[in-house]
Amino acid sequence: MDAEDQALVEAFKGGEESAFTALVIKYREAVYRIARRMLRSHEEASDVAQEVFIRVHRALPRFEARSSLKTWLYRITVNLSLDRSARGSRYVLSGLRELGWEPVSDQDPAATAVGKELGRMIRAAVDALPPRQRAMMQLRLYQDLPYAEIARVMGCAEGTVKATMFAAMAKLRKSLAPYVGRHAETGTRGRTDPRQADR
Amino acid sequence: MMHCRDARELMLDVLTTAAPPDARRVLLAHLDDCAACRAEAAQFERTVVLLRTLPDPAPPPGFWPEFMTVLERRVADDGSLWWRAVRWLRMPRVSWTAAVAGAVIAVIIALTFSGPVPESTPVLSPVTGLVTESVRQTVPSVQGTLTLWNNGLTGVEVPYDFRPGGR
Repeated sequence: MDAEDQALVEAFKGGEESAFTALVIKYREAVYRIARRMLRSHEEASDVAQEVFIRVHRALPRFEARSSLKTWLYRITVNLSLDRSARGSRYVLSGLRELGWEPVSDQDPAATAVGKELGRMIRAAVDALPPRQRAMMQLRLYQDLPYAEIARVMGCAEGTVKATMFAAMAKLRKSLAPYVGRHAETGTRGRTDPRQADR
Repeated sequence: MMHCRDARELMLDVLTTAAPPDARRVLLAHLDDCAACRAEAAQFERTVVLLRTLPDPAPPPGFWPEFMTVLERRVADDGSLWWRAVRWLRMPRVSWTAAVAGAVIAVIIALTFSGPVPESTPVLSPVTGLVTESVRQTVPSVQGTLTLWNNGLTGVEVPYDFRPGGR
């Protein structure tokens, strides 16, 4: 466990309530971002983040330093978000319909591959993934967690994470195919060939 | 020599920088020779780049102070008085103090309520053992022996002129 986290946990166990506040400040944004990417609204993500820290506050006196506090926090966040996502799945579907997003190739990419519109399309494609795939994908792509840590967060084997990630990326590649070409042409970011990074 | 299937499995690791450098080199060597995998890797990478263009979701301005206020209130309200007492007792310095105080109180109570220990008078219990009432009635000598055991040798009246062997 991170030395700073360990010191804060020990301080909290010793009765210093301010140590808990410090932990919240340290992790609140990451927790919010994970929840926000898995859920449809800011309000839901905010509720989940509150619930995460309430649970942490309850369980922290029994927390043992054998595992990482960050992994534990992320696991609570992902589980609560998955629960919320399962309860609100109808909302997610109607949300996609409201966006009018259909992964069809005859949609004009020129009209959508800019700014917010492109962002909405990407978000919609990610939202269309099954919740666990979405969770793993975002832990890898946006939180930069290694596979082993994602496996601990998700409570599964590392091989399962890799296979699930591969399936998720295959779906996203298919969904975003109409926008990928356009995005590469506009060259907003980076490379088009992984070999370039090594040269 | 890497197969296309292995290369495809490795692509995602390399593109998301999860693969070690040597695995990356092996993949790149394969991509140099395989146009199909090269095209697929390029497509994969464009997708990853596109996904990473999404900005980090940010809460509205002024959200965090409100979040902290609500959280502090909820934490204070969370759980019963019992739970808070348990948590308080779990704190090391409180638990050690409570343990020492408890031990001192236990000793004081023990000293206060315990008087002098009464001397116990041993009660001789009759020897019965496996000898049942029917045995005692059937064999009178057993009864005599038991009486001797119970009363001790002092209880036996020996005639003054007693001679062992009756001589």
